[in-house]
Amino acid sequence: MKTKKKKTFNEVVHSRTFHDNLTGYLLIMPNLVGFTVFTLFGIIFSLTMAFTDWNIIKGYDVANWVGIKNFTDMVGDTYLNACIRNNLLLLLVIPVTLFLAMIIASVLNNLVYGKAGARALYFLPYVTNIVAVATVWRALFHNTQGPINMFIKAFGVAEENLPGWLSSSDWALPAVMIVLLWMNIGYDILMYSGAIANIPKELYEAAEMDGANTAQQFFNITIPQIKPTTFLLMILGIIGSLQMWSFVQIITKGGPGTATYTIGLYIYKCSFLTHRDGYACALSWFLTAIIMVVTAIRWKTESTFDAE
Amino acid sequence: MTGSHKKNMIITKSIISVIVWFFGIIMVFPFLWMLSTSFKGMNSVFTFPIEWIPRNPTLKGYKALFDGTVPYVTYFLNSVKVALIAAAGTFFSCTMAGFGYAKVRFKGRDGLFVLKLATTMLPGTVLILPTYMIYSRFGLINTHAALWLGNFLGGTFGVFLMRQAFISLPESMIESAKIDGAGNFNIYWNIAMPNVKSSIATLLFMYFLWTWNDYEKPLLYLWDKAKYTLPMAVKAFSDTQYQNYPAIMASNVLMLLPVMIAFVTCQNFFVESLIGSSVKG
Repeated sequence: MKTKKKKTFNEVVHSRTFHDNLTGYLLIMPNLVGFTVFTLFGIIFSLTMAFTDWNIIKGYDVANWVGIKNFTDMVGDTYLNACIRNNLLLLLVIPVTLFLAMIIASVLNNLVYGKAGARALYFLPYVTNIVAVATVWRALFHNTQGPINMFIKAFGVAEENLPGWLSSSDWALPAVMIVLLWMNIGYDILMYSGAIANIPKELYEAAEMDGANTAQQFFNITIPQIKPTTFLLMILGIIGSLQMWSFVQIITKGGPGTATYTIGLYIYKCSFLTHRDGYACALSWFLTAIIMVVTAIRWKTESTFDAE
Repeated sequence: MTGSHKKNMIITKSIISVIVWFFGIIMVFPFLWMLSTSFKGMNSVFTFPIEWIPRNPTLKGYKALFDGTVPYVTYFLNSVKVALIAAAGTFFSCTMAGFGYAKVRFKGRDGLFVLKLATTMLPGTVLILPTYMIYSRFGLINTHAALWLGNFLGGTFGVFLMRQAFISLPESMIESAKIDGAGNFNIYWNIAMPNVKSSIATLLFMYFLWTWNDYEKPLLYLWDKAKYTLPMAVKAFSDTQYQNYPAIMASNVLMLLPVMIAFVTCQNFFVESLIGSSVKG
């Protein structure tokens, strides 16, 4: 293909390489424009503004450079401390969801009659939007009349001992956790179903011949074989959970007090309600750092397990 | 397999089926409660034991949506419009970019793709304020374009999904067309696209669903109530109708209905392609 002779303009334009370069960029152009304008520009803009006292009402042209003040302000910010605590507690939902999803998916593949129908029941919350989820669950969790407390009461729990759910600062976060589990388990079951269907049947047949029971097969074959899926879902779950804000904005507005405040919700409020926009940018980079650290830890532990 | 073993198997399978279906039905309790409440009068919302089939069914909840106090039909049409435009844009931007990244060898391709991959870890909250600034610069605040433009230009998930689909097409298929002198756009449209139809359907379904369900963008970029899409409208409605649960649930039912119908009718197809995308990815 390549010759030492210098190519004429016509030869270059009609060559395959030129055609590939031109059409390649034309093909990715719409997406590249979106990526450049929204993502790349956004990153630079937000990173710059994180070091200013920008207020969106006054405009960015009058924002002052404040150095790392926004980041030092985070130390001792009681709101932020509450957010971090809540975000870390919310992460506990992920392993529970994954474990339940694993069990359900493993029996769903060949031990359940009407598996497509059953799977659809678990998946339905995933295609529902968060406004419907929040408004329905808020009614279900109603502290004096809601069906959930009425049900608990029917078991003989005294009126004054009933959990206050979303209106109690002790119970609001657990209530949110229950709803998150309910919302996300369907997607995890779906992904596990795919992974489990790909496990070679011979592994189970061999185990059966060795006399391994169902539970042993689950712990010694299924769980190790679907580890890559668990890892992927864990990472996706962590990222999704740490940046969640609109769901709590609807269901509790972060309350009562700061009981269900998340870092994401705090960023939203600083951005558009209290107009500490420079601080909001700094907070969102702080959140990015947390996501990276938590993901890196998970990654690290994963590779240590593999090395053993 | 012996007869008694088979019999044992049937018993085990039956027991597990009952358990899995039992919890499955508990999973859909909130939906059943929503549906039955939407047909109740205000007084029977919280009767216990729950009236799953209302003793005195009424359409009052639904009438509250159409009595002229809220422009429910407008909200519905806004949602349809925004979701359709976003899905239509996605159809071109994601398949084109997916094909470009998968099958065309252009300079800087792999670098760009890695850069794109690297930004997927970035939380969405980082981009909220910059996006707001860009929209306000271009006069897009309080327009529907602010709701569909991002997805119209192709979301990262869609580009990955389509790239994965195109990569699995045999190279020989592409090469023989090249030898015949076909250009890349020609190959993309006439040869590659017809062979990834199921991935395209997943792509369109997912982006329609996400745009239909989106609550964050209208919350951030719209202030004119007449321009709201359903999730934002239902939220605002539920804030004003504090205790009117039948009306709130009726508005939820109508918002979820199109999605539920679409999901139930193409459930198998949708589930299989979603599983497929993750296993490959």
